[in-house]
Amino acid sequence: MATTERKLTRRTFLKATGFSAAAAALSACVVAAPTAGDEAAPAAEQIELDYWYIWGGRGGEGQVAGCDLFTEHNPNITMHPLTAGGVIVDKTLAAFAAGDPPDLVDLILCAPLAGRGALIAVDDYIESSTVVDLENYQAAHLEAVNWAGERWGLPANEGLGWLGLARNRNLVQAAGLDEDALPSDFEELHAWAEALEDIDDDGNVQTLGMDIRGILTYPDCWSVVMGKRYFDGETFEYNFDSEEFVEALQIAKSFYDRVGAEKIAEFKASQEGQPIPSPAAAGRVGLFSGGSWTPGSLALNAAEGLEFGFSFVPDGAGEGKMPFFAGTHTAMILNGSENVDAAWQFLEFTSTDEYNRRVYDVSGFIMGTKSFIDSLDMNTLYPGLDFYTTGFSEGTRVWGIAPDPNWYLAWDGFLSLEEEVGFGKTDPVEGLQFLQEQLTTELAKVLNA
Amino acid sequence: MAPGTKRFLTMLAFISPWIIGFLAFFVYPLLLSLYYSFTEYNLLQPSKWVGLQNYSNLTEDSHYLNAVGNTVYFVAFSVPLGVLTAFIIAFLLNQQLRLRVLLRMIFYIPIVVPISATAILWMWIFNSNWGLLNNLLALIGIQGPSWLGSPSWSKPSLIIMQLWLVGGSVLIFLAALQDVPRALYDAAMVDGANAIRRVWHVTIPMVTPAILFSLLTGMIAAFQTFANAWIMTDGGPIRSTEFYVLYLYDNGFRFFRMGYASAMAWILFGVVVVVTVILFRTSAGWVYYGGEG
Repeated sequence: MATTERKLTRRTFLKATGFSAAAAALSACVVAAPTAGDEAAPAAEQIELDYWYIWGGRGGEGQVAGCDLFTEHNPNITMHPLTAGGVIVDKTLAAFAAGDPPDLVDLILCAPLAGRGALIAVDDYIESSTVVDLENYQAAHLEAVNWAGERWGLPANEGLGWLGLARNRNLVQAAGLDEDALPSDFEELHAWAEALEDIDDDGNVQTLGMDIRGILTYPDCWSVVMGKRYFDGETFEYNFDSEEFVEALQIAKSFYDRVGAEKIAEFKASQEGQPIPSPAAAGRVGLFSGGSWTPGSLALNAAEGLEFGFSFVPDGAGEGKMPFFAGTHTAMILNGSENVDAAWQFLEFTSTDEYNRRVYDVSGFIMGTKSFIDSLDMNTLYPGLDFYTTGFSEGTRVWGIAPDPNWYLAWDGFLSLEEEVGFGKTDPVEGLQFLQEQLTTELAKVLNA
Repeated sequence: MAPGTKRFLTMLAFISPWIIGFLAFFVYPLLLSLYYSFTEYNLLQPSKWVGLQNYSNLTEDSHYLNAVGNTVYFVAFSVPLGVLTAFIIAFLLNQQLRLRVLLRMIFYIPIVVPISATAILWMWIFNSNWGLLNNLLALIGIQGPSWLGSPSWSKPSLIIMQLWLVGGSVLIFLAALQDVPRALYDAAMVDGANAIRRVWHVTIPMVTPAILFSLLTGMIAAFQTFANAWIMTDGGPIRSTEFYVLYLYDNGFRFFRMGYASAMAWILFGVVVVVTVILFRTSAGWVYYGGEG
C-alpha cells in the first residue's frame, strides 16, 4: 500500500498551534460540574484586597501570616500583601494619582493622607463594631489615627514605647556610676556622658558618652521631652517657634559640642550610621536613645556579655515628669478602595489578640493593645523590653504621634535642623522660624483644600 | 490616493507604536508637569492654579538654594574631572599594551553594574573604619577622613565615586583616538614635535568632538544626579549632598508638593538647555571636525 508523505508546513504548524492554544483557553473557562455540597452553599462574592506595608524580611512574613489568618476566617476575601519598603509613601501617592491605590496601607500615622482626602473615616465603623474596643488601645497610640476630630484608621503593628534612654551597663559600671541614681535632667546626663566618654589624644572618639542622634531626632520625641507639642491637632498650629524647641536644639547642640560635631560624625560613620549601635559599636556608646525595638536588636546583635538597661529620657521641661513617647504604626483604608467594608473587616481583625499573636509569632512585632501585652511575659523576652510597656503606666507624660498632615516634612526638617545646629551651621532660632513658616504655609494648603 | 501619501501613511502606520508611546509617556507627562508647575498639587487632590507662586517661592527656599549650590559644585568638579580621567584612561588603553582588550573590558564593567550595587560597594570602600580607601591611605601613613560622614568630604566622595563610572566616555574617546590619522603624528614628528606636543597639537584637537560629547552628556547626567546620593547619604550630612533632583523628589513624593517639584524640574530643564546651547555656541571655536576646510 502506498503511503502519502504529508509535509508539515510552517502555515500548518502555526494553525495547529493556534487551535491548540484556543482550545486550551476555552477549556479553562469550562465551569466545573457542581457537586452536591456546592449546591447548598451560597456563592459568596470573592473579594480581593491589596494591603501595603513597609517591612520586608521577617516583618513582611509576619504581615503575610496575619493576612493568611484573616483569609482563613474570611474565605471570600483574598489578601494581596505587598512589601512596599521605605518608599511606601512615595509608592502610595503614585498609585493614588494613577487611580489604582491599594485598599489598605500601613503607615506611621493617618493625618498626612487623611488631611488630603485620601482616606476613609472609620468612626462609624468603630461605633458599630463588636470587635474593636478602643479602651483596649493605649490612649497615646490612638493619637496617631486622628485628624480634624475624626479617626481614619487603627493602630496596628509595632506599637509600644518609642523613646527610652539605653545605657551600656558594662561601661556604666566600669565608670563607677550609680544605676540607682539615673540622670533626671540634661545636666546630669552630661555628667554621665563625660564619665563614660573616652577620647584619644588626637581627639578621636573611642567611646561616645551620649549619642544624641537616636530616636531623639523625631520632633515628637522632643515634644514630649520638653513638654510642648510641636503641633497642636486641635488648634492646627505649629509650635516650633517656641522657646521649648529652641532649648531642645540647644540641648542637642551641647552634646555635639562636648566632643565636636565632626568627630561624632566620623565616629558614627564608622558605625555605618546605624541609629541602633551596630554589633561592633554597641560596646562603644555609653548612652543612646532608642525605641522598643532596641532591646531585641541589642540582644540579637550586640557582642556577647554586653548588658543594657533602659530608663526614661530626662525631663527637659523641668517639671520632674518622666517623658514617654508612644509611637505605633496605623492601618488605614484608602479612598478609592472598591471594597471598603471588606477592608474594614481586615482593619477590625488587626485589633484581635489572635491576629497580633500570629504576627508576633512570625515576626516578633509586639502590638501595644492592653490585652495583647498582658498575654506576653515581657520579662522573659529581651532584657529591658519591659521598660517599654511599663512606661505607659509609669511615665508621667505619655504622648503619641502628632496628628500632623505635614509630619514627613516636619520630621525631615527637624532632623536636618538638629544636625545643622549641632554643626554650628544654623542658628536655632532662625532655623526653627524657617521650619515654622514652611509648615504653616503647607498646613494652610491642607486646610484650604 | 497619491503614491506619496500612501507611502507616508504606511510609514506612519509602521512607526505609530513609537509615536503613541512617545506622545502618551513622554510628551503628555511633560506638558502636564509644565501645567502642574503653575499649580498647587499634592497627587491626592485636584490641582489648584497658583500662577508663578511656585517659582517665586523657590527663591526664598534656603534648602532649594542649598541644593542648587551642591549641584553646581558637583557639576563643576565631576564633569571636567570625569572627562579628563576618561581621556587619560582611553589614551593609555590606546597604547600597544598587553591584555589591552581585557583592560578595556574591565574599565567598562562598572557601567553595566546597577547603580544601587555600585553605591553599596562604594559605601564599603568609603567606610572610615574598615573601608578599603582608608586602609590604603593608612599604608602610607595617612589617616583617612570620614568620607561620607563629614560635610566637608561628602561631596568630594561622591565625585570620586563618579570617576568609577567613566567607562562609557572611555569607549567614546577610544573610538575617537583610533580615528586620528597616523599621518598627522608622522608629520608632527618630522617637524620635531615631542610626545607631549603631539598630544597637545594633534591628539587633543582631533578628539575635540568626543570631548564636546562627553562634556554635554556628563553635564546633563551630573545635573540630574540622584541615585548615588539617595542610596549613600540621603542628602546628608547636614544637607551637604542634597542635590537638585534629590530635593525635587522629596518635595514631590514625600512632602506632597508635586506642583513645587514640577517647577523645580522645569527650571532644571531650562538651565540644562541654556548650558547646552552655550556649550554648542562656544564649540565652534574649539571643536574641530575632520574634513572642515
